[in-house]
Amino acid sequence: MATILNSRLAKLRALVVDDMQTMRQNIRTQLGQLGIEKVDQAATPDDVIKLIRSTSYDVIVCDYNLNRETNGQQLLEFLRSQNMLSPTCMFFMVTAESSYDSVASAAEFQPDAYMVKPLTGGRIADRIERLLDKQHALKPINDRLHVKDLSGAMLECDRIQKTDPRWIIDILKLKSKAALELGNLIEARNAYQQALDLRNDLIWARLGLARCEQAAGHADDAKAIVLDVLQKNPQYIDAYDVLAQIAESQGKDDEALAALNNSYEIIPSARRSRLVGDAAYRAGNLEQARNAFSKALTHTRGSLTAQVSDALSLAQVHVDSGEASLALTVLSEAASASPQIQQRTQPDAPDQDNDFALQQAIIASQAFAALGDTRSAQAAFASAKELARELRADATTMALAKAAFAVGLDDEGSHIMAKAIRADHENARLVASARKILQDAGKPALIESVIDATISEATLIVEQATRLMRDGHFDESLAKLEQALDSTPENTGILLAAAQLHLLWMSQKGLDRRYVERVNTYLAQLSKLMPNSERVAKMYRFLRETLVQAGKKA
Amino acid sequence: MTPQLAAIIVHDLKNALGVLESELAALTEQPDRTSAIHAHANCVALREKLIGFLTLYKASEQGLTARIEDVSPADFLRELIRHHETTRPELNVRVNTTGVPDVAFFDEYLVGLALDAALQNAIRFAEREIVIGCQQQDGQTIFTIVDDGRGLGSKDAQPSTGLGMALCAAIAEAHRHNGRSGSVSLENAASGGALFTMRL
Repeated sequence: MATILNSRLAKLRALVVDDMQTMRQNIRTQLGQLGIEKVDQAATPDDVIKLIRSTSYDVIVCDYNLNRETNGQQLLEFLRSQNMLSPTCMFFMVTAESSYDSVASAAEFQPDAYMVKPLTGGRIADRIERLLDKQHALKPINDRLHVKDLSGAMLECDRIQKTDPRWIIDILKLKSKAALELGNLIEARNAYQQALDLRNDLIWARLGLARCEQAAGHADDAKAIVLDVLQKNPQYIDAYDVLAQIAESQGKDDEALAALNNSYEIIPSARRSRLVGDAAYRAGNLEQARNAFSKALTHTRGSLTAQVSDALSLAQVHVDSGEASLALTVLSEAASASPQIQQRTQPDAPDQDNDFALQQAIIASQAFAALGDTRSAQAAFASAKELARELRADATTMALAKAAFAVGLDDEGSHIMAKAIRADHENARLVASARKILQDAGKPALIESVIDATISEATLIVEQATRLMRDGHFDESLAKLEQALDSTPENTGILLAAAQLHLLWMSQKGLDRRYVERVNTYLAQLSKLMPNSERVAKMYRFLRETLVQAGKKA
Repeated sequence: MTPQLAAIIVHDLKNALGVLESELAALTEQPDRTSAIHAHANCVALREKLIGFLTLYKASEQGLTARIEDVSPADFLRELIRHHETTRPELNVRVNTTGVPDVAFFDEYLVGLALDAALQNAIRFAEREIVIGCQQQDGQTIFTIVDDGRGLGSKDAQPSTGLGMALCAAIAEAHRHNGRSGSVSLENAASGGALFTMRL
């Protein structure tokens, strides 16, 4: 066939993935005829991962049937979930027409296009051109999203909808997502509804309406929509994830675990296994947690998709199940495998060694303590303490506290726990895990003196600030919260209070640019720390109203 | 897919392969580019026929699942024409752009197979021109292919195996929406030729 001269295509860098050399050569030739000369080849998933690490590809053509252990879909999931593909990279999945309809629907990470063999250069060219057109058309939106200008992105969506109507579905997806993140539920609902008006069975749009209900605090309504979607589309993975989120927000850990288990049945990936393991651990179901982490560990052994966290999670579960020796075995196996895993999987990530050593020491000290080896337990704990640079409001710090209690260092444990809670006293999951740790350690009395007292301290700060605001001491009030944020910058309770009080100040005294910036910063932080939160959505609404009011007065 | 239909289809494929064989035999004696291009076009058409047959067989055994996606019909039809390996390059095959919706929802791969087969048929019978269209009506996307041949039932029309229409019907059937499945029809066009319609 004739060579198509096309400067847009010639610049592209491509990667062809197929376990058969003849097929790779075939596609490489076809790409060459389109003017795409920069073509790399890979035969296995590990080859792919190695190449992608050092090169940014614009086009990837991957055969669905890679090899017996991994298929193209699993590779895609790994690459997308680890954010290893550049946002403009086009991923083509190639499949035989016999397996065409079985490969697609369940997938949670979709390729940019499915193509059926035999591939012809002409068809690839058309698809690439089409995707390039789309990228070009949507660029203004994605540029805004890249700098986190969500409102700007939404405005671009409205504009481009008119100039490039053939991308309406992608535009509505982007718009609704941005609106949801901004807590602008009215716009989000409108966008989802607009999509449904075009085609009433778009499951992503129906699920989107469920997400809106969830963000509005109507958990039961949200759940009803999701269950309805699942009835007609039992393979729709995203729906199970939303179900799990709803259950979690209602504190129903068992329901969350059930939803995630269902999703695992559909896509039994290592990544899903980990989600199930975490949920099972939170729900106190140690057996399921153990199975899940074991599966993740065995499935990824020797592969580039292995993660050290699997062994660590498994070891912790063993400790909690009273199998301390097993825990130590798992830890030592992990320790010997770890350096290679770190090197293969995340050679650029900082502090990897440190993090692994810290987690390992935390778990080891618990295990030694359980086995009655006090000396080793204390040594391990001391090592952990040294490796722990900051005491943040996270699971690792809680585990460190747990280790302290296991070794008999109650004061130490209380101090660590209090520090973590002070850093985010309204974090329900954190507080719940703290309570559980104290219960399991046989120290229920400390719940009041450590947990409740710390929470009260932090709430007091918020109350004082609120009172000051009420009494007209505006600047003192705001200063008090700013001070609190200095020492605990990710405390969601204080961030919410700070946002609220700044907005109250402005609703009475008028706009202040510094304060508007501050509120935006707080809300951006909160969106990250508490995704899909009703309270954050309300705060965004308050911000918008305040800006509108101020505009009217001006 | 009855055994009889299957037998007829395989027979048809055998004949097409025979034609290809003699074209290639002639080429070994006297290689020339035009004939090679023609033989290649025949080969591609043959492979596509086989894929059509396999798709149809699958539909009858397991049922076909349509992967519905949002597609720009304009892009889709343009590409369809561009890639159709035509055995009669002198024909004018064009898209009627009036009324084409910005976006439609269907399985691009399957509908591509169907329209390719329908287009193949139209090409056999057309005199000079084939017009392809797409409309949105009553919640359905409607593709049409009109040729300016002598229409259905004319005496010198070559008999077809029915594979094309059977394939189109199976693919339309796989597109179920709001409790309604798609449909295809082939009838005489008002202008004298044949009108193929696919409703999804």
